[in-house]
Amino acid sequence: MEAEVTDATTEEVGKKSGVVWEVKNLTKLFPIKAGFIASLLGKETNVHAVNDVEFEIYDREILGIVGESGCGKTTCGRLLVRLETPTRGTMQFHGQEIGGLKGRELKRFRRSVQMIFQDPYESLNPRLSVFATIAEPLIVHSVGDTIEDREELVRKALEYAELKPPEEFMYRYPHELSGGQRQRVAIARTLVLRPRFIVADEPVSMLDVSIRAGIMNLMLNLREEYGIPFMFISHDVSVTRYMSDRIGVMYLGGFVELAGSEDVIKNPMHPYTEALLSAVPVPDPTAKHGRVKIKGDLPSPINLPPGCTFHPRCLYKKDICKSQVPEFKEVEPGHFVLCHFAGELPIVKPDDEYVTEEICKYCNATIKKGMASVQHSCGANYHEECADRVKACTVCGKEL
Amino acid sequence: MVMLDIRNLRVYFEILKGKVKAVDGVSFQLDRGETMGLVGESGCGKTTTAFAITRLLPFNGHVVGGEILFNDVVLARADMATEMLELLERERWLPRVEALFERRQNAMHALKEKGLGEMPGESEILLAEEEIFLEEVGDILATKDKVEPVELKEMLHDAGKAETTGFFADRRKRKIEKEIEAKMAAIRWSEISMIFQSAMNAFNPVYRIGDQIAEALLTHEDMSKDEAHQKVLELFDLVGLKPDRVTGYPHEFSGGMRQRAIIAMALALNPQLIIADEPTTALDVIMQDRILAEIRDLQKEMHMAMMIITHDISVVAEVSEKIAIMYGGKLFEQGDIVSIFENPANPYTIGLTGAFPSIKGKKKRLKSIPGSPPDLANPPLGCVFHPRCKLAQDICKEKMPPTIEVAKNHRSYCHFAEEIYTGKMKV
Repeated sequence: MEAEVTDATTEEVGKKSGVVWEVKNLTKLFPIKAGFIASLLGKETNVHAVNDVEFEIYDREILGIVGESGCGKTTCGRLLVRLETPTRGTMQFHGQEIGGLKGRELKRFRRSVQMIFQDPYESLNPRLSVFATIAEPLIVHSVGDTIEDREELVRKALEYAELKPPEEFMYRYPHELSGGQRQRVAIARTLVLRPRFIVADEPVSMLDVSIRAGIMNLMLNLREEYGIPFMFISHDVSVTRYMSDRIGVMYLGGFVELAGSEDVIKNPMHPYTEALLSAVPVPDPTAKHGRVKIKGDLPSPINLPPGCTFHPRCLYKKDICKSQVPEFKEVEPGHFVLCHFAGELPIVKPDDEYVTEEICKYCNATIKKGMASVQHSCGANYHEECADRVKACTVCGKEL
Repeated sequence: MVMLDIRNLRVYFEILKGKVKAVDGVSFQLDRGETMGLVGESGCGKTTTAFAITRLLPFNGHVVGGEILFNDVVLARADMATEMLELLERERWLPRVEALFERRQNAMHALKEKGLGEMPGESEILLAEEEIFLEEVGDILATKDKVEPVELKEMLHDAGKAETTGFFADRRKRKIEKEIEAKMAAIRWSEISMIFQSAMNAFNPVYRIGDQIAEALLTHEDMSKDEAHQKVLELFDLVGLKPDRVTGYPHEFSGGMRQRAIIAMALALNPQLIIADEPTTALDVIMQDRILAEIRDLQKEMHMAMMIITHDISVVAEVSEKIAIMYGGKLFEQGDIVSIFENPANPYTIGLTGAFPSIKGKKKRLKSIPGSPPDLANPPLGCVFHPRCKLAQDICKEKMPPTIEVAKNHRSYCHFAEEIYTGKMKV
């Protein structure tokens, strides 16, 4: 009953030839408009949306990107379809440098990349029929000479998006379609130009559960049949796992971990990935998992923390993390981690039957080996950070 | 002890084209300190159920059948004429109307003998207003052996129409509304509070957040402004917000902070029941996990009951003990969460759980449920799920399924509930 999906492990991915995207040191800064006086003084502040990102996307591959809101994953996707212009760095699409393209060449490039947006209720123009919506890219790029040609192309695109029979949908308006159908129209619009690369930015998070699986399977089929590589952006880790061959975990504008999707899920190596995975709710009421809590909020992307950007929230941080920027190391073949202690930390994995050894009496999360902890005279244990916050012991009431 | 008791609730919306049966025969109970997850796709009636409980239905939404009791206080009940008119539209209407008549008549007798003080779960004004109509229906039903059923139906229909339309009917309706609303005003927020969907819009953007929470306190409790602000500070501490934020405006708060502020507001008066409508949908996983943990801790601490409304079945799996799965205005399966997850007895539940990816275990191919949710203004005949159901047979297209209790605390609305539960039928 439960057909298993063959997973591309890291090794298989490594063997794949045909690099679609080669991105190096890609950076996007959004300047913040300062006041008149500050501008005279020459102070310049920027939001570091994407910060020195380096990755490749191979042929027929789906690269998943996960992270909290505000981590720069959407900006990263927008850069790849050149809705944003990079501040620094190189991005090569089939060997062609894209970052500096302008005018006619940019338009030619845009014909080969497409984007699927999050909300099909907003990304479709309510006053255009399905045909007009899907035919618009054809008009923009002067594809097809006659109406009949275009109709044929639109019909095919609708069929690829599994809206059958296409005639039934072609002259409807978005308000006559359900959420799932709208997203299929949005997908058909991206397919009509036969793109060589698609960025899908949270394409299923606005859809209902029962429809979601259909849209995800559709995208997987498209990859299977036509070999279109995807970048799949989502904050939902379980959805990204289902969709992707490789997963990149983003934090504050940079990748902290990048590996085959099962490697990231089953063998996370970065403390942030650990926290992210442990926060994912599991559809099984009997599942018990050791929770790793992440402290604090996302720091401001305007003034990035020095050293490792994750150190203010990291449970394993040491002095070196505060001053030195870690390297994006290849710990195992194809498994990149941005951490000084990658591979050395006792990371909790989602499938671990984790027996809690000690529980912090303040935050009720587990204290694992290697984490800084404080033991009170009565035997109660606390995380070091939590101990700073409690004045009296919650068990015996004595002062810490 | 049963705290919230919803019996056969029906909420219909009036639209130009007719009626939208948003909630159609929903019954469940919630005890003190219990957590229930109400799960379903958008448009299945879960939020409408919540709005019916808090009496926040929009102007065109009406409770046309059933009742909602909270600690034996009637929060909503369709008047007899409306309910009877609704019953007349069904097959086998006669026994149903008779049962309704009998129930109301017994209540009336009991009221006259004992007085309302000893009659929990009744509303004096509702009964008093119905006395004449009750007699009228009694007279019509007494003639049932002498006249044709068609004629009887017509007579009942005419009586019901006369009772529900016209100037006096409107005035009576307003009077009852006013009375129940007065009771509800005391209960709302102090005993039942609600965490609204989209924390972004739940606050008034031109008032400081601290003042908005204090307003709820000042309305319900006899305290000075200083005391109220002191209490707001305590609440902020409880949900992990910094005290200097009380003077902030909603736009200065991030999504997660606003959600916490809403939770603080919901907790302000130590309610017995919190209805959380999609409390974490707009948040990312890390914030969601934190808010859920917070809600769970606070709930344990204060021994509140909670109803979580969500479309995410895994969120429910994390926090609740009971689950109710809604589809097309009906409860498809309800009961103990472990029993339902391990041994589902409804094809829709199986479809829903099969459509969810997980990070645990092996990667499985997801199965989507074909088709889309039904149009509730014009629901399919028989079981509302049959056009999308893999197991659908002829009986499903013709007859509405019964609700079958397959195990203790586990009920399923399906013709083949037993067969699916015992594994004789596989989806």
